[in-house]
Amino acid sequence: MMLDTNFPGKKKQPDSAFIPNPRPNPNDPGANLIQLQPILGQPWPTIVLEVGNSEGVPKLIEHRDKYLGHTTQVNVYVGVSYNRNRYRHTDSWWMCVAHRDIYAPQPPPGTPPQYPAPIIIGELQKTAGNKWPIVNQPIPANASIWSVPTSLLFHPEQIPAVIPRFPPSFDIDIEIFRQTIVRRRLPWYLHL
Amino acid sequence: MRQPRESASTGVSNLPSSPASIVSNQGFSNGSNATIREQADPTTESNENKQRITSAKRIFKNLARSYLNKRSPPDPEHIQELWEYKDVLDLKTVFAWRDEVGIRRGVLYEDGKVEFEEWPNPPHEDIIDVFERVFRRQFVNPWPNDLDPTFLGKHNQGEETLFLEDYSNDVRYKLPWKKKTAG
Repeated sequence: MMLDTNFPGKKKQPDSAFIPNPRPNPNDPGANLIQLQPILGQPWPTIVLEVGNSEGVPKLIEHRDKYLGHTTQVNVYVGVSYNRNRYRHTDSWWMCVAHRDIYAPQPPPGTPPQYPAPIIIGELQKTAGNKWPIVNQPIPANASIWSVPTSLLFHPEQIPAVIPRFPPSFDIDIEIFRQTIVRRRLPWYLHL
Repeated sequence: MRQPRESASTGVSNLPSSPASIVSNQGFSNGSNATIREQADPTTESNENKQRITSAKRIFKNLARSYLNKRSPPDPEHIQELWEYKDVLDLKTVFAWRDEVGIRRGVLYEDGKVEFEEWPNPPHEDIIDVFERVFRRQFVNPWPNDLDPTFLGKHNQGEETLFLEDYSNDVRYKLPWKKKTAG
């Protein structure tokens, strides 16, 4: 398996990632702005997914801030955490979609890798009991779609002209993720 | 255009340099230390290192077996025992031990420190699958091209570290006494 992403500060990779093909695009005026990953010499993916199983949400948030920091060229971060508890009806989850602040000023030398702060498109918040949302609780239909502008999947290059054109945004229905957790978290024999 | 860093511990510019570098620098910057190191019996020093490596290997294998049996990272206190031996641990050694135990994933190495990742239990893979299906449906499948798809996807295990074996011979990951210096 080929490595695609060298996470800043740790020898680990995201669980999934996508990169425009080709990258850099020789026909794009922004191609010379494409950075290569340290050691690997490959361009950064523009969108990454990280999944945590009972992994602390603060840890994923820390990763998110580094992925979208100035030491990478990852533009979009999708994080999902499933926290399995003793009983299924108390299982909780967290999800976040964030993107790079592409208008942030260039950092001076020595700036921490978390700069610039990411821009949050959507993030599940703790409930009144200071706990993450229960995974059995459906997401209202009018709040379940988190949209990522397509331009961020290509930045700093332009959106290529293809036929048909790319959609204006990458739409993530977080209810689908919730239902996936609900359906797949149980051992097979409990599905009967 | 920002230039990529050269170090493996990329992006953490405020971290201290690797333990191996610290030991090496002390030898040059501190005259008394340098004298002591020069006068030390190399045989004795080598034996001490061997003993420390043996102890570290024993701790690592206990941690690794616990990781495999419980399918969860060992207690932080137990992992920190291993960190006390970081001056004798390098990437190649750790991966050799990992292979001896039979772990194919989940072992992380950085600057002499070994860590164990969370075990990927269900629905870990299912969440990855649904993310990739959703992305491909919107940004890849409408433009079918087996040779040149609009996006290349990389389905990784977050803990995959096999790629680092390619770099295990890199001088940056060698122990100080295994580094070849000019002159």
